[in-house]
Amino acid sequence: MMRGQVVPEEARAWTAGLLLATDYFAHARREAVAKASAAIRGRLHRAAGVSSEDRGTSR
Amino acid sequence: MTSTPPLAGPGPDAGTAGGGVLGEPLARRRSRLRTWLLLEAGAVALGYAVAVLRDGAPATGGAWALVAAGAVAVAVPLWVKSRRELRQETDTRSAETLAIEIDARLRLIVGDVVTPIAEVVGRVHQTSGKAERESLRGQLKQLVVEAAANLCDGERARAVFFQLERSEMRAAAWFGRGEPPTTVFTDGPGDRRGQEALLLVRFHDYLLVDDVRGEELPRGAEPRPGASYRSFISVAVFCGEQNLGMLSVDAPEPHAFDDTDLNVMRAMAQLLGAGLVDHR
Repeated sequence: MMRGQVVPEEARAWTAGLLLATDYFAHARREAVAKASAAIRGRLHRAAGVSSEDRGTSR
Repeated sequence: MTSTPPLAGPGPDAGTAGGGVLGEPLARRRSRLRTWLLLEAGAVALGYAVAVLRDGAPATGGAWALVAAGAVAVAVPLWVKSRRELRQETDTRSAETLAIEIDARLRLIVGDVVTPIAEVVGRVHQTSGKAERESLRGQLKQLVVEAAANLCDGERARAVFFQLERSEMRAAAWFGRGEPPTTVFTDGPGDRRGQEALLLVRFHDYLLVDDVRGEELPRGAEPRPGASYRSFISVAVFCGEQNLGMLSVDAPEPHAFDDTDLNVMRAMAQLLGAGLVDHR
């Protein structure tokens, strides 16, 4: 399950002018890379799991 | 800037040596592969030692030549195998890095930029007071140029929104430069660049130039003398039939922008147009 804000606090701070664009984008980029890294790894891991199961069943 | 969110400090993947943005370091994987190859070589050496202990060391030149030939026959496939596996591993890592970069960019554009800016556009149209609406519009222009400069790929990219008023376009918001832009685009007979820029807005066009010095440009798209940028994208900002101005991003290096940057700029320009359009 996942639940969160559609527009998170840091994004609101940026749009309200409370946070510098350079700080906001540096943080957002770091977060995006971390989440993308986890997501891609997860997908690759699941794909590897599925292909090894396939090998098992074909024997 | 203030307080609110905890933006400082390393991200979850920071400090992972050797793997770039990625988790398991390449060096660790490579050392595992090398250990495996060493084990294989060790097994061969052990086999040779057992043979020597049982039958004695080679006594003749022919026997030594046979041993040398055997060593080469073992070493060459091992070397070829290690090279091939290392190359495959590097290719896999490159594909993985690329996939992560693309996924991260998508998250950044859609989740961290378009979503909050769309919310501001909504607030512009919800606000009843004229002063407050104008203030939100000023904020929106600034957010869009900040987003354009940060999302487009060029290093040291700068972005400007030129607002159209009474057949002239002046900089209304900018990001990435120390001095405010002084360019004014007019439709005066001597201002060819101005005429072309105004035509671009009137026809709701965009223009991407890879290198202002390296390719033949349409008349009026040439940079002014002494300009420091080499590549740029300019996009008309409009909503329906209402022309509002031009959003531009430029970079000092050639070929700084690609199709993706162009699409980002188109989306930013349309968001800005949606926020600036007047009710009829």
